[in-house]
Amino acid sequence: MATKALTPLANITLSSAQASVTFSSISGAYRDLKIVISGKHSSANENILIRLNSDTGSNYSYVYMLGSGSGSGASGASTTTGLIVGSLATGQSDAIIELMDYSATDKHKTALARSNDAANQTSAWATRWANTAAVTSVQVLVSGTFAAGSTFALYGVSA
Amino acid sequence: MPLITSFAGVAARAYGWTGALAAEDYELISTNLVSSATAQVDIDLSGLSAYKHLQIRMTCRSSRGATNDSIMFRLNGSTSSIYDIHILYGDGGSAVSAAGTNTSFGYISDFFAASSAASGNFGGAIIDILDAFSTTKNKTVRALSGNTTNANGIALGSTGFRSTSALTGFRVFSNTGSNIEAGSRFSLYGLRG
Repeated sequence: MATKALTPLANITLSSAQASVTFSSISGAYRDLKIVISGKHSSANENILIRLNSDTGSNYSYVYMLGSGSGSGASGASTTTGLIVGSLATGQSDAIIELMDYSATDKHKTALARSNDAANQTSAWATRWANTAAVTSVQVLVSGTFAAGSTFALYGVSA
Repeated sequence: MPLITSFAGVAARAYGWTGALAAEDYELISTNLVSSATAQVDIDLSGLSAYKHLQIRMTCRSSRGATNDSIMFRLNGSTSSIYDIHILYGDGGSAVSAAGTNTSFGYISDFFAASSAASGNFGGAIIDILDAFSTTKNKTVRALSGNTTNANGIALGSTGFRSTSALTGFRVFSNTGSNIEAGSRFSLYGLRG
């Protein structure tokens, strides 16, 4: 018997600017998480960072590629303090992050992301948290603040 | 629930994510969690014509004696040279494009972790198969994949399969002849339309 694939778990809409949002006490009943971000930065262009289970250590890594209209680029880093999953600008931006096998306890957590900032660039990211613990909290943050009205949605993907 | 059914004569469907998704629109069909190393994983697509499109979500690790491995696919078991692939990837330093015509496989990723990568490191991919059961269209498969290992990579892949046959099977395998390791996971989803 087929199972519904996507289950909405939480929605956050900012009533005022703030530096981060946190999804906590995440059920382990799903296989993947999908995080959908639609918003703006209050004042600048900054990367969107995700931290899992409150880990602020240098236990993350990322690689990305982007197209800006005037050129393409790519880079990465083997040790960072969060999953970098896209960019946010003062114009409308979005990111969709697929956190694979978040509830597994035998795998590092790999996230695949697509991010679009219509005024500046489109990008794709692969990023990894080098920890096999099941993810129970997801913090989304940015240097500076997310603007009021920015939305953050969390979905569980069945498997 | 589909929001748009047609636009200017071109069939188009959009799916809205609401707080109350209809169970019948986007469904989990099956999950294969590999329990012991295997040369290939076969995902059965027969009898699924009630769905219009398919999606495969996977995490995978290879037994290849390196930090990464290339994982590819075949449709309907076809080893004929009727696939065409295009790839755009970032390797941590450059954005690179590549292509292959008349290949005997479709492209998932070159960046799944292999035996020299840190324990627990796998790599992921999300694969969309459009109009999987059409008998009037060649099949289009796209993949978003990536991982961070000693060989970093984020990739967008596109495969054209020059056959109008309805799909009956999706085979995943290592292009280096290595095994797919235990713990690798392949979940199949169907989208109605």
